[in-house]
Amino acid sequence: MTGTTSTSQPRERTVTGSSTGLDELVLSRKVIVCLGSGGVGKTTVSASLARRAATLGRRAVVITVDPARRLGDAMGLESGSLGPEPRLIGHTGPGELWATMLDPRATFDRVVAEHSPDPATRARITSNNFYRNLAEGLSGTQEYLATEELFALQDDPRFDLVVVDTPPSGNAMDVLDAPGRLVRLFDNRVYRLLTGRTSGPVKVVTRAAHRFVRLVASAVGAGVVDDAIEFFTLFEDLEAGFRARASTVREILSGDLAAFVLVASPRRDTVREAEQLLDGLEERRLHPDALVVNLLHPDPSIPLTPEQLEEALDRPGAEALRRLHRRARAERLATGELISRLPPQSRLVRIPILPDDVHDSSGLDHVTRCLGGAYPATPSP
Amino acid sequence: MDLTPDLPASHVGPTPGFQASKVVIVAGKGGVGKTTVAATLGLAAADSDQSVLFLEVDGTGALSSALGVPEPGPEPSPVPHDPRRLRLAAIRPQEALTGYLGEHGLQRLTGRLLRTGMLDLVATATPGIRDLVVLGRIRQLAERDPADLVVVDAPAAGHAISFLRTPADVLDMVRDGPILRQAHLAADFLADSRLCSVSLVTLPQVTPIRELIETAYAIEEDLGVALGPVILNAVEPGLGDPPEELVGDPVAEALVAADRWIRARIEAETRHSADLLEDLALPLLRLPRTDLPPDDPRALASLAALLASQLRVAP
Repeated sequence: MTGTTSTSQPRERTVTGSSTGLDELVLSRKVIVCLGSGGVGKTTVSASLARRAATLGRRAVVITVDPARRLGDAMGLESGSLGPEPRLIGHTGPGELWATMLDPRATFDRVVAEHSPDPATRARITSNNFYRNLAEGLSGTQEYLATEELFALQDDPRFDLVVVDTPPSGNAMDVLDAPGRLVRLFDNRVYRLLTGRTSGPVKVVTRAAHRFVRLVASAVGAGVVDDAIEFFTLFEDLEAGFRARASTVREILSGDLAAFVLVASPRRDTVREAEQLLDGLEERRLHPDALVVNLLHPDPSIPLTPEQLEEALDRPGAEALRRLHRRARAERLATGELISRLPPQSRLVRIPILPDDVHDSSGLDHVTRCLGGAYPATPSP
Repeated sequence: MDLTPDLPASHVGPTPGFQASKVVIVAGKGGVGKTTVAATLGLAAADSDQSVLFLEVDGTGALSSALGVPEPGPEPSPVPHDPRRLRLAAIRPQEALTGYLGEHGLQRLTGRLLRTGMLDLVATATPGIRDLVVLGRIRQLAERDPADLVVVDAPAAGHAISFLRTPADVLDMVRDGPILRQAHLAADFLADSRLCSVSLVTLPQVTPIRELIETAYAIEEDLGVALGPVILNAVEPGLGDPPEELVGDPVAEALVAADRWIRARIEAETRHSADLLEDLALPLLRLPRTDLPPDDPRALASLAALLASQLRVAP
């Protein structure tokens, strides 16, 4: 990935009938990160990108971080059959499709084990209460662990492509910022004071800090503070490893082999969230390699002339056409600005909504075909 | 436009009002329209002359912007739709946390807590403290505020119930200290069915409905929290007679294609919501898809009128 070239000129762009879709992307990249807000079909798009890659002969793995079972559902798997260990879902020729579900605790435990100097330190860290909270509770931890998993999978010789379905988090950029945030946690002054890692007149400062800490302990409980001190003391030995990893992940994500796919649905509120994601990428000098506008309503009035449309809406039984026409128009209005903000090298894919939810393999086929460049003019019910 | 969903009468369950508890927490996964439903619910209650306090707890400002409250603060401010009956307050985890620490003898240190990053440490080190202090603030307002109904737009999370699960998790994890007391208070508040209930929002599609069923069981069985009516949002409204089919007439072809698509959608939604009713013994309320943007005041007003009418026919 290269730095963002911002464009100010809105362009009209047509991809209908485009024969490439995102094929070039799934063929050339090693990591694809899907970003989008809740309910836009991000999990389905992620799974479909990996499927498309497998169809084209790559060995692709999709990782979901959604605690619900959407990916399994979308792939037609039994609920709960996806686990932290990648599972082979199917293959076509040389291509393979794998899927895995993020298990934050298991991933964190593995990373701690990798960086621990000895088994005793590892055991003390993984049984520490502060660590438990960190692994399960801290906002951004899931996102951080998703990038850890991404790091492990992109290094795994079984896979050519890793597709990451990011968590529907409050802060959409968490997946990019989380590694840095965890590292910043260690830079915090209080932690340094707690663990005595400070330059200057150590004793005086730490004594004052400890008095302050005791006061806080009276409000939240002493055990809490003791656990935190123990954790930071133990973690000192692992810190360098974590820092190195965080910068490696950042390099991977801003490198040429990574791509960002922004997924949006054509509602005004979700488009607003997609625009915020775009802002977030631009602030980090990144750009989306593709925008997927999912769940677009079909508009059967498209082949009609304005006069014919007027006539149609006057005929009996026109309610359904009126609705779809109105929805499609509202959707074009809602997405127009977002689409015009895309940098010129970004691809655009539109995916029509089906009358029934995408929950079986035929629904997934539909999304996969659209990502491959086929856009059915009038999707059949 | 006909807003009434055309669903078989057998699918309309009993619909007791929301007056069963003072606090209704509206919860659901991202994208199901939870915020629109929370706003609609409060407006519907105001239609029946109830006073309502909205609580926004997720920090995204979605509810306040849907209701047109420009700068929501910790103290309730009037909502333009009906300033006499409707008010809204925003609870922010950081404010609630400094408030909590202030009440526990640290008021003079709040600035230092923030400056040194100690607040982050406390928030990370203390299991579930953000959720607990937010729940504590909800409980406080519910007890003190004169409103007839308190509507809480639950935080948007990957999982609808992580916020509700926190007190139970903390009780499992912590042995003593002030946090344990907070967890007890929050758990008792959630489990008091006269004070608090949860209404789950979903869409009439397979995956959201499946998730809702799992969530509902977890809330009632694991957490002992009372469930209010389930709200099925964005239901495709019914259609009248189909258009005439004329071979070779492009106008008729467009009409027929559209009609088939919408009918297929209604059929799928009806099938999925029948599954929902079969698996859950909970009253179901339906809100139609309006084709108006969620922040359009006409959309909210018409949805509220519709919800109010469903609540009135209730036994």
